[in-house]
Amino acid sequence: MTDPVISARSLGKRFGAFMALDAIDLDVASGEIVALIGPSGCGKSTLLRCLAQLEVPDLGIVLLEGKPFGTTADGTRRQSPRTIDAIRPRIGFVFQSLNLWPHMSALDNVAKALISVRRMPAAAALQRAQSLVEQFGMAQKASRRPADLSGGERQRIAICRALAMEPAALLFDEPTSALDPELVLGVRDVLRQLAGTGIGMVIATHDLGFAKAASDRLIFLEKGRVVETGATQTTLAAPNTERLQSFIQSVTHI
Amino acid sequence: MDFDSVAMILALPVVGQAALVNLWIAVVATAIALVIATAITILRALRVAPLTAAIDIVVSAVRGTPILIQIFLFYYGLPSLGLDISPLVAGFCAVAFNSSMFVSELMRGGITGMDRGPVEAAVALALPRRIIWLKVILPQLYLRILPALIGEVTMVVKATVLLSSITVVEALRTAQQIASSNFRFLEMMLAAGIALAAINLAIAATGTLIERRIAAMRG
Amino acid sequence: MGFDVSIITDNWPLFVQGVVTTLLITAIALPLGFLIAIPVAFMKLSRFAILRAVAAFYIELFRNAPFLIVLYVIFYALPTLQVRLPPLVVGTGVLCLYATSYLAEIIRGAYLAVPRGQLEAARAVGMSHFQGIREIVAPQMVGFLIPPSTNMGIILIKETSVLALISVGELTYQGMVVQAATFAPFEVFVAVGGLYWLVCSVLSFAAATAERRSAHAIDGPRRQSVADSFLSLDARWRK
Repeated sequence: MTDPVISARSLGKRFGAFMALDAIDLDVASGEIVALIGPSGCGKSTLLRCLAQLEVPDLGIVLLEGKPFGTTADGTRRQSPRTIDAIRPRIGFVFQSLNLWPHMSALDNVAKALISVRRMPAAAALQRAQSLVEQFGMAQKASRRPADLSGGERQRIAICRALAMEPAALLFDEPTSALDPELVLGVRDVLRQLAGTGIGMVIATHDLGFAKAASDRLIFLEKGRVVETGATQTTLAAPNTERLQSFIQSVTHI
Repeated sequence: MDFDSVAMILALPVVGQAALVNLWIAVVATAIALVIATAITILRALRVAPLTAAIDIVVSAVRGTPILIQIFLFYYGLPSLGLDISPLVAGFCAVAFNSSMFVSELMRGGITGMDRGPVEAAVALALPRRIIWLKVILPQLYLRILPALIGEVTMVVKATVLLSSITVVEALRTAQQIASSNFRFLEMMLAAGIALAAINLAIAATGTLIERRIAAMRG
Repeated sequence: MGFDVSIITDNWPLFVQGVVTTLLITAIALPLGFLIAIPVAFMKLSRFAILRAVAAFYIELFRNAPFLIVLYVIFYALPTLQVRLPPLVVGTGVLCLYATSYLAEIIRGAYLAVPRGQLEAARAVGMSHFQGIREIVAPQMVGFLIPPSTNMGIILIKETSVLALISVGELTYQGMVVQAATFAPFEVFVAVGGLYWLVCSVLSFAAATAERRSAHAIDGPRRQSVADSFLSLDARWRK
């Protein structure tokens, strides 16, 4: 088997006295979709942010395509900001609130990093952005500002923006939280399609139905620890731990 | 460079005493300004177009001219109208007049962003207009503008040093008088600056204290 | 009491000269103050307590001490430091420092008004912190900066009047000169005040017009409730 696209080794993060992440181990293979589930405050978002080094982990290391990201290989020293910035776009991040740049058109949102970070000529960057938004059925609306797009359209632009930098891994923070229910399956199809191209994905979600429909593997977090992990279908059908069982009950038993 | 810190420190008690004049003028002028501004707000609420237009013009004139010019106009203008008043009174009137217009603008801004709920409730109860104004709108409005009003007091304190130019004996004038005998201009100006800044910091601290009290009262 | 218009008409070149000097001082102090305010604002936003403290001290100084006193302190301090400059330069410089302290807070407010996620999204696609601020955050700050900055320009125009007290030849000083020659203070200061008012009104009108033009997001008409009729103080000219 090839290297996992993204891994964490005993990743830890503390906010004051609060243990947000406690010795997390994680491996995501190419083309694999991993769902992080758990009650709010369990550390899902913090884990994603630590993986992307948007939050500095206190302990442990992150490996991206087998190479250390954020710290040196032994986890003792931090890499230079320049190195981190250079590696970071290998991980695409789709934020819960998307954080599209409101003062630019959808197309410019997608092309911006190619121009500013990759130093691509504007015409080439826009062309590449155009072909990306076309793949996502957004060709007609590429010139609009984010404010003039629907929630689903905005999300697709946010995904395109992350994909423009050709990431090895994509991290999604609550991708279904802002969407109308009928759009959720569409997101699943998009993720499946991306998995087909070899991108590894981690999805933090509180939406068990979506996790079940979209992911290959499940990680159940509670209080910053991995409580249970396994193939999505079998784990949800027959959870090994009482904790996961009661979590499943608490969210499905409405 | 020679700097006589002893002269500065020795001047501090005298200049500090004089700075109480600045404080006194500022506090009383702002209090009067609040009354006049309330009257202006109520006049605006009557929605008589020519009256509102007249108020708008006066406010615009006051906001569009330096307070120093307004002080000069009161100082030179009032006596030429036949009023025999001291520089202190003329200066005080100028500052209070200026502040009235700024406070009325504070009240105007405060009322626009006010919570509509209580007013709607009062309207639903068919309370008379006068009662709605006195018991519902104004009390809320005063609380809303309180932080800005305290800021206004410090603004007025800063403006009062301009009264030195019409011979009102306050902190700056006192410092200038001492300097003209000991020729320690820099030291005396610093003493005045320290005294007035201390007063303004004290006002700001009092303001924070009052705000906290109110916040605690409201729970 | 008579109002002698000839005092104004006979001395108009001096008044014009005063207006020009006032505008010139403001036109230098405002943009220069803005440039200096940028690092001060980011010092106040810094992670380092020392930088924050230095910026806070600078800002609080002008917030709490009267401008005239700061002006005098610097005016008298410079000669003891063997620095000799004409009053116009000293006055413009101190006005610029004064503007800096307020503009720093305006810039800081504009920075904080842009949601945190905007910079984070820039970092996520590989931009450096500085690049994210320059290319993503700064353009979004402009909308928050323009109204308070034009307002600051008007405040500065009025504040230049204080420079008359160190004999900088701006509008108020010219008024004092005319007054000393004519002994007609009321006429003189009505004229001077009127000129300030004119300049400030023209400027705020221009700013308001520009702002209205640039506002691309036009909100729909607000619903009017009965409470709104209580809480709106603007008279309707036509009902």
